[in-house]
Amino acid sequence: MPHTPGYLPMTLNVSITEEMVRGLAPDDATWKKAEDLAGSERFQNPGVSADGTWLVADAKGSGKEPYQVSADFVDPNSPFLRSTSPSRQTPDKYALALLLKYARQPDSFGNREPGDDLLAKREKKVAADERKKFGPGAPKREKKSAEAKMQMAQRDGLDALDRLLVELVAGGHWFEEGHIEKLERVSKTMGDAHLPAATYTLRRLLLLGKQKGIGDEERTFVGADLIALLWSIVQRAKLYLDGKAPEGEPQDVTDALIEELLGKPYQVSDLIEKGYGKSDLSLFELAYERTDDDCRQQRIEVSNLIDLSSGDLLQSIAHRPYKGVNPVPEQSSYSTPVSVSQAAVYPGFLNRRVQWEKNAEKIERASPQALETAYSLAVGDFSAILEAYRDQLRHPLAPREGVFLLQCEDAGRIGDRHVVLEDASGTRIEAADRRKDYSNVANLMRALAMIGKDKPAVLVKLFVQPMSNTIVALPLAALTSKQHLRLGL
Amino acid sequence: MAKEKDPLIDALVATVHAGVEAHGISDLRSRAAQAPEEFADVATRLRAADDDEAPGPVLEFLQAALQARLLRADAGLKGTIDEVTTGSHWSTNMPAESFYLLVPETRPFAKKVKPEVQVEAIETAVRLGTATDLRLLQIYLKHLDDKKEDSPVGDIIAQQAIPAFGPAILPELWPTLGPDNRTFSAASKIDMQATLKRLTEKSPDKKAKGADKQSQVTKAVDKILQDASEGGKVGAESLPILKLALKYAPEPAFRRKVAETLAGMGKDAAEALPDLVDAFERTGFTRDYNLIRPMMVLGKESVDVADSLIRALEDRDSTVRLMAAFNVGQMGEPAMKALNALEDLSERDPEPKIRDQAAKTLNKLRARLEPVGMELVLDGEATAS
Repeated sequence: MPHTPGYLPMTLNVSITEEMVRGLAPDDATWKKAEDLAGSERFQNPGVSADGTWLVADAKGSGKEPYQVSADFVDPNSPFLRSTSPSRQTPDKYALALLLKYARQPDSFGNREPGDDLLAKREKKVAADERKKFGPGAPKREKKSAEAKMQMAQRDGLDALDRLLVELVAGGHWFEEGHIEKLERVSKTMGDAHLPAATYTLRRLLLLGKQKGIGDEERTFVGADLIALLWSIVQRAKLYLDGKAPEGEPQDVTDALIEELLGKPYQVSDLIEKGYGKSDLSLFELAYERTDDDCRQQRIEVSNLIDLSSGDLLQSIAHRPYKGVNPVPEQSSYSTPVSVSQAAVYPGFLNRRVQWEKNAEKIERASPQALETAYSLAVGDFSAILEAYRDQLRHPLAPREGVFLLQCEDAGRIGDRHVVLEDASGTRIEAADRRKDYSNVANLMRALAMIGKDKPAVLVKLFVQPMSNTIVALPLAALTSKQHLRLGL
Repeated sequence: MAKEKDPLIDALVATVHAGVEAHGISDLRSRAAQAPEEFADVATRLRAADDDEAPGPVLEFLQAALQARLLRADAGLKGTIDEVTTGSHWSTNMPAESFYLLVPETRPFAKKVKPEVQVEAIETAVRLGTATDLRLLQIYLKHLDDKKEDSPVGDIIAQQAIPAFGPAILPELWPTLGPDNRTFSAASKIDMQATLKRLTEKSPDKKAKGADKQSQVTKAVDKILQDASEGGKVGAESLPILKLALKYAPEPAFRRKVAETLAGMGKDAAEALPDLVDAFERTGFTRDYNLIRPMMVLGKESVDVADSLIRALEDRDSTVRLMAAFNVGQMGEPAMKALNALEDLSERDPEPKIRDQAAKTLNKLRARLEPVGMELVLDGEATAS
């Protein structure tokens, strides 16, 4: 940092010598690297806190963002060194280099205060040390608000996950028993810290590790994909915790992701207040799904609804935890159209979640017109559908599924193994199942035999088959202007 | 399904799999040198990274490369679309609250719906006409395949739910059709002839052998008889397979069971009389006297039965001769053909009991020929002495 005239650098309360620093190095190689770093221009904004108990700097390493490096001298005899570098050594070369740089060039350090997260970490450490030293008689500390505690827990959780990911990539063999146990432990920590996306994804990884009947190649590939997804979750969640969002990210996407990543569930009234309300919806249920999600430890019930005015495909969803499924009301299934005077349409991606208060709904009589309208709202251009789906996939944390109502020109088998849907221009999407114990595709074929020559509209859930990297469609319902068949469980 | 080839992603995945410390990143570094422009920044940082720092950029690179791969995902499939055979009729009109009572839970510790509740749900749905929900078909078929003998849900599905779909469902049943399973019960309820044909026809890959056919028929009939003994009823639709069973059943005891079942069916089984007579005549070294009663139940006035009993008067087995001699006397008009044979038997049979019975039957039949006193009764002038 260039020093301005009249500038008086802060000094650390403790004097540091090279010998002292060398004594902290875990091995010679690390010491050597630390010496190189201390002599380089890799440190940015090195500084000493006003109270002389902190050394703080950013260090340019191999990450996209500089690493945050600090030395906490709250206990002058035992400095606590921290670094966000992916190195698994403690202390790592950056932290050692920071001390060494101060020992050699104290003047190059300006004034710099530690961030809130560092202060919080110190406080936590001091409290832990006191508890260790004094036991139950340790001095009571000022109580924090629930939100502050939650944020602290989330930061700790994300740091733990970050370290875990580095450890998995450094050590490999994430699917081995020892690692699976660790994944289990960390996923519990994530759950306690209210980090739902991290918890579910970590559980997916550990369930994949335990899964039987899956080939090694697929396990390895899907596992790597989940590790990459976890990395994205950590990066984005940290950003949101700091109150930031990536440049250009639409507000509704940020709102949706904050809910998913930081576990801040919305209430209908909150959403309406935030401008996510919609009035006078006329909805028609095309399909209803009920699945048990072992990663989320929830039974998920989804009513796939079409807005008969706009053609938007919305989802009314009940997440019912395995433990305590009964207290959470079941998601209703509607066999006739339903009018909703006011509903909250959640922020998000293609298929927005919709929710309303019970007194806002009116179940209409069965009407052939509703089916005719729904059928007329099917989209006949598959290329446009695929483009919209890819648009959603562009966001690394967006759902990797999208529900669409496809107007088919043709549909049927190709050979014995494949079933395809085709639009008027000849663009095709293959129909595929997700479950091994039930085939929606088989039901689609039965439905097509009934629909005959009428061109069916098929409600599908698009997803990507990971190994072949192919977009395929799970059929959920088939309809014409007169017939409506649901195809799945 | 085959994995899409991408050397850069393969190298990243292999590094994550084996670990930077064990696997090293030299291969990855060389791949990174040729990475597409979109990854230039992270590729440069990875190449410059010390090994201990490498997991950071590896994770970042992995995420970016997999994300780019995801965006390359495409749809479609080449080939000619076969025309769909039309003609079925389906509906999905079962209300969700009933529907999910019948859908198995996937959670291992889920509180399962009790079988009696499921049975009741199916019975109600059959009454309301909603049991034939397309979505349930696959679940029903799994229940049919349940090997457990004691499965009330499987039984009700075979007896009521599947038959409610009607003949259109038969092709769905053929793959699991066996002579002694629930699929057979369900299919035979819809169309016994078609089921039987399917069961006994040559399999596509090899010719069904006689013994196979025998065992198939025997098992199928056994299943029908078992269903009947559990409160069901053997109807006329089962006649073809029962007839076949008389022909093929190798065990006398089983043949008797079939014959008794036919007798129990009464008039509905009249069509099976020639087969029954045939079975009586061709059962081996001697005739099976147990088949005489069913023959009598179904064919008291049958010339074929009378002829068969007359022939049985000469059987090697004395019990057969005795039973034939008695039963021919219970017959109507066709029994008159037996007079000579009975006369002969009453004089020459080595068994006194048989000679005695033959004489009694002979007298009984002659009495019918010479109705002494009948006129008197009719005239009302005197009583018969």
